[in-house]
Amino acid sequence: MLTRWLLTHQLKEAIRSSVFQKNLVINILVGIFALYMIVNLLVAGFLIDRIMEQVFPETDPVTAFNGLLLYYFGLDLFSRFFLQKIPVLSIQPYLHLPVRRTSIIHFLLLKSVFKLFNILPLFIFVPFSYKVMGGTVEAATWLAGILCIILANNYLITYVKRHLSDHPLTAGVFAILFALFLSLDVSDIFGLSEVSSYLFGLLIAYPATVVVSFAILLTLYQLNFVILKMNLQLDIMQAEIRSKSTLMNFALLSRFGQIGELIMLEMKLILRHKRPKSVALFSVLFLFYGLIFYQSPNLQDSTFILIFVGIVVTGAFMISYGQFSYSWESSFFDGILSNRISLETYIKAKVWIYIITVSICYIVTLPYAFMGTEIALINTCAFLFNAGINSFMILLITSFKPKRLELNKGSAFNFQGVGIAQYILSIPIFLLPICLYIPFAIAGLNQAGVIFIGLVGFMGLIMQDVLVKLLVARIKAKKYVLAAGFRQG
Amino acid sequence: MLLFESLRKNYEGTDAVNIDRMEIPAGQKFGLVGNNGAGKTTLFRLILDLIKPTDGVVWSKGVDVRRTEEWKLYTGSYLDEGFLIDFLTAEEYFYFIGSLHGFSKHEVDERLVRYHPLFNNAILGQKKYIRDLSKGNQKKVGITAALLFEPEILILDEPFANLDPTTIFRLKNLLNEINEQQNVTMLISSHDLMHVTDVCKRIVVLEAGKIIQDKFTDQGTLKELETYFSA
Repeated sequence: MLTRWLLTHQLKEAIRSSVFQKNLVINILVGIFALYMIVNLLVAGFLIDRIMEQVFPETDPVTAFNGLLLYYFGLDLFSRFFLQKIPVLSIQPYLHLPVRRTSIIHFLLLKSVFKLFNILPLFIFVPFSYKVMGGTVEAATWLAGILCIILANNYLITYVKRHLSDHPLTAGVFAILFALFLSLDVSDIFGLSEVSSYLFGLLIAYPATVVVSFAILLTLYQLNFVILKMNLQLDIMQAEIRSKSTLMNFALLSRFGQIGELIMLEMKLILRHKRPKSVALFSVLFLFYGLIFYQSPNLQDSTFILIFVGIVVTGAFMISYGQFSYSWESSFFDGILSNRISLETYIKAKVWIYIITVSICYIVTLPYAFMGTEIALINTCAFLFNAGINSFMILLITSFKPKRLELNKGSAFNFQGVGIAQYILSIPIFLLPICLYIPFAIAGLNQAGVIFIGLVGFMGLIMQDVLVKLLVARIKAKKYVLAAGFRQG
Repeated sequence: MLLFESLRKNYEGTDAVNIDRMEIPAGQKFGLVGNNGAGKTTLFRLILDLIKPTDGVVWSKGVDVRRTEEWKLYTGSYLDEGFLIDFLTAEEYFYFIGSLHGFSKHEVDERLVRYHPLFNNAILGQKKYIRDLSKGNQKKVGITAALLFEPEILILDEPFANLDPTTIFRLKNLLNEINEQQNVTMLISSHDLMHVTDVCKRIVVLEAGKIIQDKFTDQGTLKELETYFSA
């Protein structure tokens, strides 16, 4: 009875959330995208034995697959740490009602089962158990065992984030351990993959061992349950969450005066909110774009695509974070405007954030230079163009009707605050360098064309003050519209 | 100090603010009263150059506020939570505002001592972000940040709302004290007729953006206002 009520409330909460109602088109797009992902996963699930045969020709696919599972669960934990929300606040309205607390807690915990994290892997594991393992009893117990571990991960991360630590450093330590095991494995010193094969092989050899994974799941569930029950008084839990603040100092930056202060403020903004944090995390993925494209032999000839890749790789953070340049500050934009900050300082701080992050991305991706001098040249010129021109372009385009952003929602599938500017932003960023390049390509001077892109970027850096002045003039005229939009929410 | 000339802000055909001419001399404690939608906040936003007037000019010390940003050097303001950077702790916020005016942390700490009675030990040293503070405490942070650099003009929207009685009492004393010592020009809006007449020497009643009454406070003012608003 109660569960039914709670479920309908949850459903209404989802449907009536402002994000969902505002934009039907975007919801449909998200739906299509999700469908596409599912199809992709299904195909991967059905073909994974072939992939295994190719990558590990000497072992049979099931053993090889089992060998990867521990790593998979590690990655799963890692990404959950950043992306999974703790279900907590929505219970407040029920606490004072004549409702048994235990049933609220059970509901809260069971609710978290229906998450993408828990559901998406099924599209790989189910086809695999059916096709490769033949849908036998062993296959079924194997699948059940794995399912238990996935859910156990779910509860483990809920426990860790709620009661131990949600500091990014925790994940950092975990990532180091992960890398350590991986390198030990690759260098044949200690084979975690063999342990993994053995453990998950047990599920097939002795189906009864599924009880063990179920026990793990149950223990973690119970752990969450007991601790939640002790802490259900809301203020206790919130106080706990609050006190774990990431208070830190960037003393170095404050030496650079107001611009330094503003950069510092923005760094705190990123670290203390979910959405910018996950945007930053996702942008790390773009750094690996080069691995795919720079290497591929049939793309090597097409400089056009490599320029595009260079812009993505060195601008990884700038492009994904910068699409909301002004919106990040939407909740205190009035404060920015009325305090002693000149618009020029404000814009300059933003430009510098971009230049710094583009430089960091460039330094991190320097190893791509090993793939050839042409790649090194393209990467460098794309870096200059990002720093000199695209940084301004982003600030210019995003000043077109930005919206208020909710900072504490995750960024995946979150289209709140997305407007036209975000859609058209990528066009000039990628098109302009390519347009600069085209005349040279026609004349057959490929390398000169690439250098020209870098030169234009360099000019942008030199003429920074002029570009800043242009932007200031634009923002000065637009600031009333921006502030009014942010106030409306 | 402040002069409004044929100032008008029009939203979709209706005037939110429409003031022919009004002057606020330096050091005046200026109170703005009116019902919801009377245009109090709109007027304050116009002074702070947060919205663009449909017509007219706000002159601050003889300079059009839209032309330069000089008024930021001597104007302290707190209108609503949109002024707070809510993911900072109160200290971090004060240090940030202080740094904009060139104060070291130490100087900020010294300046904060004066406001400790307002804080009631619930603001500093809390390891809490501003977003986790109560509404009243958020307001205290905003008002203190506006006062921190000893502005010449102080603009507060509904400063007494959401505050506890003790703090209201202390805040009123503090505002009077600052006005006497530093001759600060104060613009305060309020729904609470008693508090605003207590603090302000001049009261202006707005209705649909227009000035209905403009008078200096005396013993009868509160009664008059009460009669006006109960009618």
